[in-house]
Amino acid sequence: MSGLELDGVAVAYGDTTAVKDLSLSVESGELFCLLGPSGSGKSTVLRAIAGFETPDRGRVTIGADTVTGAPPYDRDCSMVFQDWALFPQQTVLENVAFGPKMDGVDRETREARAREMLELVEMTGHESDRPAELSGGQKQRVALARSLAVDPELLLLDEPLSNLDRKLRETMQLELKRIHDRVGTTMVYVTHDQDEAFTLADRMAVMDEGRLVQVGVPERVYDDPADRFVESFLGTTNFVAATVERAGDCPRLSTPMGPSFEAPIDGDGLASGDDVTVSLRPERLAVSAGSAPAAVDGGVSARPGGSGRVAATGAVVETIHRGSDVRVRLSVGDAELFVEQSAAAAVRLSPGDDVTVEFAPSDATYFDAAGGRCR
Amino acid sequence: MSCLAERRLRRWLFRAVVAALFGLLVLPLAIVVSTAFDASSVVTFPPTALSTRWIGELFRSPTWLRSLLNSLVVASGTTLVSMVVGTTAALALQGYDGRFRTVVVGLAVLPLLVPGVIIGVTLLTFFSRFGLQQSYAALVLAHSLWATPLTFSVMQSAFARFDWRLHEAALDLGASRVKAFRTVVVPELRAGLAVAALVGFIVSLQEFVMALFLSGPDTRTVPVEAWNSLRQSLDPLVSVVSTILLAAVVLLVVSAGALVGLDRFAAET
Amino acid sequence: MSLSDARSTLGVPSLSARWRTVALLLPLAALNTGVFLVPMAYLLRLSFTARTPQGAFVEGSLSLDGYRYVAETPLVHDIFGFTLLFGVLVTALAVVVSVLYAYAAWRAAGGWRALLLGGAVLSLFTTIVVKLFAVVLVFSPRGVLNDALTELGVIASPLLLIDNLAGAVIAQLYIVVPYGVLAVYAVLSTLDDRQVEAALDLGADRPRVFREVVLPHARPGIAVAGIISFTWSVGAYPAPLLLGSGSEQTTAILVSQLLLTDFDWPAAAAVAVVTVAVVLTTLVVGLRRFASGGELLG
Repeated sequence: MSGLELDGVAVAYGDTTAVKDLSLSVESGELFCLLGPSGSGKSTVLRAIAGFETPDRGRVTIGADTVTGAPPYDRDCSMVFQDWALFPQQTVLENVAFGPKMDGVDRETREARAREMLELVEMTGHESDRPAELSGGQKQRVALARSLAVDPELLLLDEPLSNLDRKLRETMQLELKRIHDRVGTTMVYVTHDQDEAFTLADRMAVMDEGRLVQVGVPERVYDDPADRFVESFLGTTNFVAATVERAGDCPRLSTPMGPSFEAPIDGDGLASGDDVTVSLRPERLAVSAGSAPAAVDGGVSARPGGSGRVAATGAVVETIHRGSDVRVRLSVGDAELFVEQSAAAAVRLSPGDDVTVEFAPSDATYFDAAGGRCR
Repeated sequence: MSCLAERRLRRWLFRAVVAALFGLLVLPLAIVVSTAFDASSVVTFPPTALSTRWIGELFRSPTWLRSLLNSLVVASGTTLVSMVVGTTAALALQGYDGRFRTVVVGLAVLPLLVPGVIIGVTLLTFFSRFGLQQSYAALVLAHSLWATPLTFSVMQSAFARFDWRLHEAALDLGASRVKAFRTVVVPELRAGLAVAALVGFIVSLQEFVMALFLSGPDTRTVPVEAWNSLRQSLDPLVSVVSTILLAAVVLLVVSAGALVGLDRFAAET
Repeated sequence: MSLSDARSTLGVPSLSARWRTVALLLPLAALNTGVFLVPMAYLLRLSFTARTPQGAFVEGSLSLDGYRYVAETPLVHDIFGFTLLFGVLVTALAVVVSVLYAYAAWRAAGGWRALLLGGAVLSLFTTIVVKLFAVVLVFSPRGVLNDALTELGVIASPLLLIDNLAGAVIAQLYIVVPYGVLAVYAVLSTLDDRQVEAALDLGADRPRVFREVVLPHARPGIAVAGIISFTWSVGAYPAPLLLGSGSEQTTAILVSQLLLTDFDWPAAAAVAVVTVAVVLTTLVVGLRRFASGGELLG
């Protein structure tokens, strides 16, 4: 049985459609992330699941219950809000015990449950504090405890860590994972931070402008993006504008970097002269100092299937030190690329150095003019 | 699904009660307005026939015209005084929190909490020592006691909303304090000032209890005149006058709503 | 950090800033002292003068005549008793109505909210006289309400809603409810929607959300509404006078009568002073109970 199922859900505000025909299935016990930029509709989806928005179309099922149209208090799900929304006039204990209180649980039992939850989030000792006395991270924990106290079938989290500073955020991410492992509740987590999604998610979905663009395990989504949007949203990459030189299977592409090479894609629908975007992740680029690496001349040492490496020569434009790593900006032919080097690397590049950049065409990803993926 | 039906019923019951309250609040006023246009000299509802004769009658009656003039004079005076006092006090409190502020605000608001009759009676005896009873001055001062807390409150919110860094930027660029205030702060606060002035004006216009004690035959304001008339019989002229007063209030509400939004206005007063 | 922020965090304003504040507060001080504090002191002094049948009071005398009158006249006791009862009754009703109305306005969307608030504000700024006039028109035995109800067959004979306690209470409600509504609404408008959503999410239906989240938040506003209602009802004059009968006499009516009809200044002053004392005591007690007065006044 799946923990959550959305079937053709669409939500509109006035004449704008925030969510368009979204279908999604989350496994019971999964930690599922909804990733997308602001305005992509991810929060709207969450609110539709929780019951604060009513979909114009489609169905929402939590566990075995179809809950579309049911009010929030009748659904077996619980939400952790971005700004925590703790009740300021109640103590921490009262806040956490609120859900069970609404269920009619007697005082003794619900307070015991609240204490249990506070222990889970490591906030024991703060029972009589008021929310105003707590730090952001502490409020976060209390909000989580409060939502878990009702033992929901589904836990919804709306960017709960975005108000915390970076170090705290990273600590809390691991905390959340630990708690998820302990409790095993199905969780749907909304964020715009890709690192966060990668850290937390068992599976994730990328959203853009109200649509679900891709669903999958984080590594898969990263390595095998559905379209250009996903590729650019996850991590960083170099986009190089290429042109089809020779169409057909494994089309030959010319790039402003200099060399042309054969792309290991089936080239359907690509005609000579068409634009293709080549995405080169910095970690897939090999950079060596000097303008002529051994064994490769300026073009392609091509083998059938385009599995040979492409090499191009260029120069270092700028190095930006970022603490543990160094971002190196390169000018390669008419293109600008960047790579990342560890700050502890043996050979350090400096502006003006000549370099050779190498990559294997099979390591790059290719997108057509409309942003769709070429395979 | 009795749960859903129960919810629906509750919702509609709630709405019905609120609608009834709204009706109770507003309809009587509407009824008063309608009687102003009733041809008959007996004040009833619904009106028998529509006519504007009473409006004409009003403007032919020297007592009523006198009272209208008195009201306008007193209201203008009150607006002036309460605006000066309220604005300076609100300005003075900018940047202060805690006990000092609480005390000052408390003092400013105190007159509102003493029953109007008592203030009226007190001022009557007090002012009569100076021969000031039944004068415009007495009325203006008394009304200012009640108008000032309101102008103060409105201006306080306006100042709180204002970004004082703009003022500091002006000072930094060489303007004197007064100049900076005039050229930078005032234009931004125009809306707030207008609302405060409107509030002061209307409060004075409609104030009755203190005016009852402090006005004389020459300085009687409209509410007092209406009250005297009402104690004898239901006079359609009272309806007309009421309508005029109501129109003034509607004007206030509409312009306040336009200037600062009704939400904010309601929250501030 | 701006200068004003610095001022408030440091807590110690510069000397010139202090002078400026004092100068700016002078008008308020002048007004309140000259037109309020001093006259009230005069009233207090008056209450300690001797009564005399030849008009007003005995100049320069010091006597407890006025207070003796208050203490010894059963009618005065009755009137005080009634006034307090009246105050409590009106306050109870006013608070309930205000909370209901303000809650409805807060829950309402855009246009409806404007309408509800507009109605309250309109009523607020309408002259008492007009409101009383309207009450007479609507609630009198041959008024609009009775006509409508009789026509609909709901009642056989008209409801007696004026010239009695009911009339006085209804009229007084028309005076205080608008203030109550706005006082409660002002506080409600600061309630974060998210808290309501959190409560809904955790299993509270709307009535429970109201009880558990909305009401606690609105407490300061409710306190203000209650205080305004009570203090003004204790000092009520036109409403009970016009719409009550002879047995609905408040202390304010008594003061006016003593002063203007009986020319008994010391007695009038004494009654007035006692009334103010009662009102102020309620205020202090009310503020104490509902925590920070600063919260209310700020």
